[in-house]
Amino acid sequence: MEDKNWSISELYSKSWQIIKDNKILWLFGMAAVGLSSGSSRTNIKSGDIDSIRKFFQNNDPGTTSNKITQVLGASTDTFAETIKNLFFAVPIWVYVLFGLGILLLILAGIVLNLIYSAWANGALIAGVNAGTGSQKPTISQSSNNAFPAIKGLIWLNIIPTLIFFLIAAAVLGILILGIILLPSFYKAIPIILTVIAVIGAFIGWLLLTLTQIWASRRVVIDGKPGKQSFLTSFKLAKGRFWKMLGLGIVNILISLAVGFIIAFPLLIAGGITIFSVLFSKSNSSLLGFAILSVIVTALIYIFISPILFGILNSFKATVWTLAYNKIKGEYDE
Amino acid sequence: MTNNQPAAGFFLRFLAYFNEKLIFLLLASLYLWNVSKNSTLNSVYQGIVILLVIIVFYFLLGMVYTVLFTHYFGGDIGKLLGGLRVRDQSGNKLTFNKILFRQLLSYKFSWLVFGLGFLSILKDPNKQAWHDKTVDSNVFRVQPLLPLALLVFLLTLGGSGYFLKSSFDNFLNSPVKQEVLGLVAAFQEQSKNNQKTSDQKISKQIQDQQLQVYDLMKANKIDEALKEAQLMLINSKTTSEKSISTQVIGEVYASKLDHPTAKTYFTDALKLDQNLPGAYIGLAAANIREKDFQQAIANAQKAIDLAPSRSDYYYLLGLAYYGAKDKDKAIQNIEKAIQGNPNVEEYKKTLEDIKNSTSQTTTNQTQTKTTAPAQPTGPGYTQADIKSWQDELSYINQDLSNIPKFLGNSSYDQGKLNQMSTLLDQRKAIANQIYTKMVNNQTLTTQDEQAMNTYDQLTSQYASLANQVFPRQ
Repeated sequence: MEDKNWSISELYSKSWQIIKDNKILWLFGMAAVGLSSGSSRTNIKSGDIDSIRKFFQNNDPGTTSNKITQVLGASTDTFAETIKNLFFAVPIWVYVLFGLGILLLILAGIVLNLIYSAWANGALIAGVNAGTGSQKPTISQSSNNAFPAIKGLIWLNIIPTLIFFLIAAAVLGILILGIILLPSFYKAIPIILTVIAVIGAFIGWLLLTLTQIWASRRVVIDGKPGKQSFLTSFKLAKGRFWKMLGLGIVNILISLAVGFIIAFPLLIAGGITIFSVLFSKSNSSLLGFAILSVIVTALIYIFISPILFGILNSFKATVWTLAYNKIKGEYDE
Repeated sequence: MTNNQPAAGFFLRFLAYFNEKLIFLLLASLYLWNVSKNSTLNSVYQGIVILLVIIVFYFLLGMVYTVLFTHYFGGDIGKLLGGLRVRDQSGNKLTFNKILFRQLLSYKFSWLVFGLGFLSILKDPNKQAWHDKTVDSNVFRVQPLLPLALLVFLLTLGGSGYFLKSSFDNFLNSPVKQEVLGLVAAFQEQSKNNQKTSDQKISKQIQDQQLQVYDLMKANKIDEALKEAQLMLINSKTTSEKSISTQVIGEVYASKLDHPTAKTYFTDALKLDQNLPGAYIGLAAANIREKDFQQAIANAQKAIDLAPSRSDYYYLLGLAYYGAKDKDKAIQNIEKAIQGNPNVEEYKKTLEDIKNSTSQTTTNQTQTKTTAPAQPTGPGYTQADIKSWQDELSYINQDLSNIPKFLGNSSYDQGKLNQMSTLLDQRKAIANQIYTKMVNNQTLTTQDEQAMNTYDQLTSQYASLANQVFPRQ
C-alpha cells in the first residue's frame, strides 16, 4: 500500500530536482506570481482640516489681508475662469463617453487578469505534474492542460473567498452592533463572542487557503469541476490541517529567505549611496560611484528578482503538487 | 487544410507588428495636425479631449477588432499587409477561443522576461513565439508581400513623423502657445498665493489664546500671561501664527519691563513677518526705554505706515518725538491720536501736560505697562509719569511677595532667587526715591538720573535671572 504521509525534506529535495531539470516551470511561476501580486494600495492622506480657518490678522485686519485677498482674487479668477471655459468648450457627453471608456477598460482588465491568472496557475500545476512523472513539461502541453481548468480555477478563486468574507463581515457586523447597542451590563457577551469570531475567522481563512491549494490541483490534475473539488479538498484540508500548516509555514520561511536575498543587494546599494552622498562634498567622484552602484543594482534587481520569484513560486507549487499526489484519493467518493 | 506555407520569421513579424501600430499612429497624428491648426485654446483643448476618447476606444475596440480580424481574415491589418496569417501548427484555422486567448492574453506571456518570448521566434525550430506555443499557433507567410510591408512601414513612419512635427510647429507658432503660457503663469501665481494665504492663516484657537493673554495682562497676571503666550507659540502652525505669537510674548516681556528680552521677541517676530505693526510699536516702546528716541521714531513710523488707523501708535510716536525734544511733532502726533480716538482721557491729559511743560528736555513715555517708567528730570510731571513709577513699585512688591514661595523649593535655583530678592530691594529703593520726589514735585538731581540708569541696569539683571530661574518653555 502506498504511503500517504510526506516528510518536508523529501518533498523539498524532489521539488528542487524537478524545477532544476524543468526550467520552463520558472516561466509559469513568474506568470502566476506576476499577476497574483497585482493588487494596488492607496494611501489617502487625511486633509488638514485645521488649515481651513477664518482669516485673521490681529493688528490691522483692514490693510494687508484685504490687499492679499484682492490680489488673490484676481489671479484665481483668471485661472478658474479659463479652466471653466475650457471645460465647457467640450460637450458633456464627450466626458461621459471618456469615463465610460475608462470604466470599460478597467473592467476588461480585471476580467482578462482573472483569466490569465487562472491560466498561469493551471499551466504551472499541469507543468509541475508532468515534471513529477516521467514527462518533460512544455509550454504547449502545460497550457493545453490549463485551458479546461480555467473556469474551475476562477470559481475557486472567487466564490469561496467571497462567501467567506461575506459571512465573516455579517457575523462581525452583528456582533459589533451588539457591542454598540446593548446596555453596558450585557456588552461582555458580544465582546467575548467577537473575540471567538475573530479567532474562528482566522482559522477559517487558514482552512480556506489550504483547501484552495488542494482544490486547484484537483481541478487541474484530475479535471474535476471547481465546486466538487472544493468540497472534497475541504475534507482533505481538515484531515491534514496541521501537517499542511507546517508545510505552509516552512514555505513562508523559504519565501522570506528569498525575499531577504533579493533585498540584501538593495540594502548594500542604499548604504553605499547614503555614504557617498554624505561624503560627496569632499570627494565628488564618490557621488558618481554611488549613482553607478545604484544603477547596477537596480538593473540586477530588475533582471534577477522576477526570475528568483518565478523559481520560488514554481518550487512552492511543486512542493504542494507532490504532497497532493501523495494523499489524493483519500476522501474521494 | 495541410500546411505548405513557411512560418514567418522574426523580421517579417516584427515589421507586421510595427505596421499595425504605425497605421494608428499615422491616423492619430493626422488628427492632431488638424487640431493644431486651430487658433484658440478652446478648440485645441476640444481636439485633445476627443483624441483621448479615441485612444481609450482604440484600446477597447482594438481588442474586438484584433480578435475578429484574426478570426475572419487570419490576422490584423499589419499582418495582412505583410502577407501573414495566424493558423494552428497544421495550417488550419484556430478555434475562436484560442484566438481570443492568443490576441488578448498570451502576448503578456511573451513579454514575461523582457520580451524574450518574442525573440524565441529566432531560435525556435518552428519559429514560434511563446504566445504561439500557449495555443499551438504559428504565423505563416502566405503571400510574398515584404515590399508592400516595407513600403507601408516607411510611409506610415514618415507620415506620422511629418504630421507630429508639423503639429508641434503649428502649436509653437500659434497664439495658443501664448494662451497656454498665460494659463501656466496664472496657475503658478495662484499656487504662490495659495501658499501665501496658508502662511497667513490664523486659527481660532490662536486668536482666542491671544485675547486670553491680553486679558491676563490687563488683570496683571503677567506670569500666567507669559505661560499662555508661550503655549500660543507652541500651538502655532502657520508663519503668521508664529509671528503673532512671538510678538505677543514680546508684549508680555515688555509688560514685565524686561525690554531686552521683549526686543529679541519683537525682532524675531519681524523676521517671520515684516509687516507686523505690533512688533514695530513694541520695538519703539523698548527704544524709548533705552532712550534711543530716533530709533523709536523710526519704528513707530513703520508701525503707523502698516496700520494708519491705530491712534495709540500716533500717541507712542508723539511720546518718542517728545523724548527726542521735538515738542511740535509730539503735539501733532498726540493730536492725531486724539482725533482717532477722542475717548481716551490719557491722550488729552498727556497733550495738556506737554503743552504746559516748560522743559523741552522732559521725556514723557507712559501710558501702558508695555512702556518703561518715566524718566523726567524736572518738575511738571504728568500723572502718567507718576503712575508709571507707582506701577513699578507695585510690580516690585508683588515679586517680593512671590519670591519666598519658591525659596526652599529645590526645583528652583536658590542662589539666584536670593540674588533676585536683593535686586528687587535695590530697585524698590530707587523707585521709592524717584516716586517720592515726583509726587512732591521736586526737581530730580544728577544723582537721581544716575540712580534711574542704575535702576535700568538692575531691571535687566533681574529679568535675566528670572529667565534662568523660570526658563521659557
